[in-house]
Amino acid sequence: MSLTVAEGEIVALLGPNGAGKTTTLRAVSGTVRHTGEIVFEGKQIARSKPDAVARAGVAHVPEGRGLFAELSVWENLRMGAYVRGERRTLRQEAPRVFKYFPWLERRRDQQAGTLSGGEQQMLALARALVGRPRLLMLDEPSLGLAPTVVHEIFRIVKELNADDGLTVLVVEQNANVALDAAARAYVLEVGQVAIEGESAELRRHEGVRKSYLGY
Amino acid sequence: MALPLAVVWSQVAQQVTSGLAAGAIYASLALALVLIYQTTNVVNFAQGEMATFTTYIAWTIMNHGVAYWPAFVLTLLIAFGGGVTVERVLIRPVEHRPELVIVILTIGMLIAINGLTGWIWGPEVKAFDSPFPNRSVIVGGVAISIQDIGTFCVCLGTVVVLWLFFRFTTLGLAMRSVAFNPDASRLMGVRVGWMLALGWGFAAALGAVAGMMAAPTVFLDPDMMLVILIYAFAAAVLGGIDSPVGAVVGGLLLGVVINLLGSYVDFVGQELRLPTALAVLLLVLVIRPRGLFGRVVVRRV
Repeated sequence: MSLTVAEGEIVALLGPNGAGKTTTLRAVSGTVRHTGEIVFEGKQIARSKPDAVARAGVAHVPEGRGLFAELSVWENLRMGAYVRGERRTLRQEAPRVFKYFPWLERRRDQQAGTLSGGEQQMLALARALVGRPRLLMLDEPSLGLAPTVVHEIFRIVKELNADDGLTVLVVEQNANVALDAAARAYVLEVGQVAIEGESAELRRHEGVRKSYLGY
Repeated sequence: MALPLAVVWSQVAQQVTSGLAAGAIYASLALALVLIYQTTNVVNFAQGEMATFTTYIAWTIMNHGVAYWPAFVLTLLIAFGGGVTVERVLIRPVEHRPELVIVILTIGMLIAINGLTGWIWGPEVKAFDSPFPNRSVIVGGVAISIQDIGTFCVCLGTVVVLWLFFRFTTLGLAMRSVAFNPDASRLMGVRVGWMLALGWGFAAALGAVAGMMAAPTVFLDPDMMLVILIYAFAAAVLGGIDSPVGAVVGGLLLGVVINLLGSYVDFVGQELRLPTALAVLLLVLVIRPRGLFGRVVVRRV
């Protein structure tokens, strides 16, 4: 299996359960053992530990979001800035992130575990952004969320991509929203790339339409 | 009740203050246990022996003519380094093994460090200097020993400094995040292994404070922390083993209650203090299994 994400691009990973989408992201962030090569900005990171991959500039918002439920919203954001030196990074990046999530600033002292599911997903996204990643990996950001919240999240991701050229690799079950946001997509089936191409192209692909788009 | 009420009250107040001093020592050691439990999920049975060992080091440093407070600070640094080393060298290799393996390892450390202490310094009891004068001050008719006030302030001061560290520094936040969610912390770029080692370092330093504060009254011998460790366990469980605030409050509470029971309940006296403390503990746990301050996480999905 081979895939590439170019700088400034949003790429979607689609496919059924068990196809290896999550495992692919985890291989990149170093949280699962694997063979093969992973090159990030010209550097081999396949053998790097998760904390080293994070410091190299890859932010991974995992399945289940990986928030610190017991810590406050603000402390979660502080942890997002940790990767680049907490205090200076936070001073520079927090105002920028609050522009996309104004409500976070008002609720900075709330315990993260008491946020609603959609708010938690947004906090996880905001926390990743505070560290100014050069690659953002999102694992099923739509999981368990209401359609309006899902659209809101993807709208913000698209906006970030347009504003700052943020590079995104997103795993999604919801092929519709993912293809809407992504320039290109890979469809995985049992650990292999079954189909790949531009989003518009995949929308016309009969197999993709039947299996993932539902029309 | 032939005594006037005022006299009784001053006696009670005296017992309370000396209970608070003893409790502050239990609180320090209990907090050390909680620190390690929170980060590594290990109950460190060797915590008391580590404290004893570092107190002997303090004794040796002072015997070489170093004044009390410089020796105190030097001992804390040595204890911190020792704690970090113990985690890196002994705990790290068994980190992912079943809990029982780690428990047996810390019990092994207890026995080994105890033996090592006796082997290096000998089994005989030694006197240990106190930095505080052996006098009392009268506050509102209550005689309070300066020794007790000093012990209380040093132990609680250490706890407060540690609290400020965890609350306000980047490193402190990273250590807390590791305690809550090590996997997510790794994704934030935190070197989790080192945070665990630092946790052991801080715990060892806290233990050293407890040891140095206890030694002037219990005297220096290889088993001096045994009973104090049991009280510290009781305090930690009483407060909730996952709650630093609980450990401190539990320690102080236990110190006061034991002192009052020992002085005012005839059948308790000196000999039955320990079993009584454990009985009280058992009672609390039957009523409130997660301890007084045990964590209840509010979480929505």
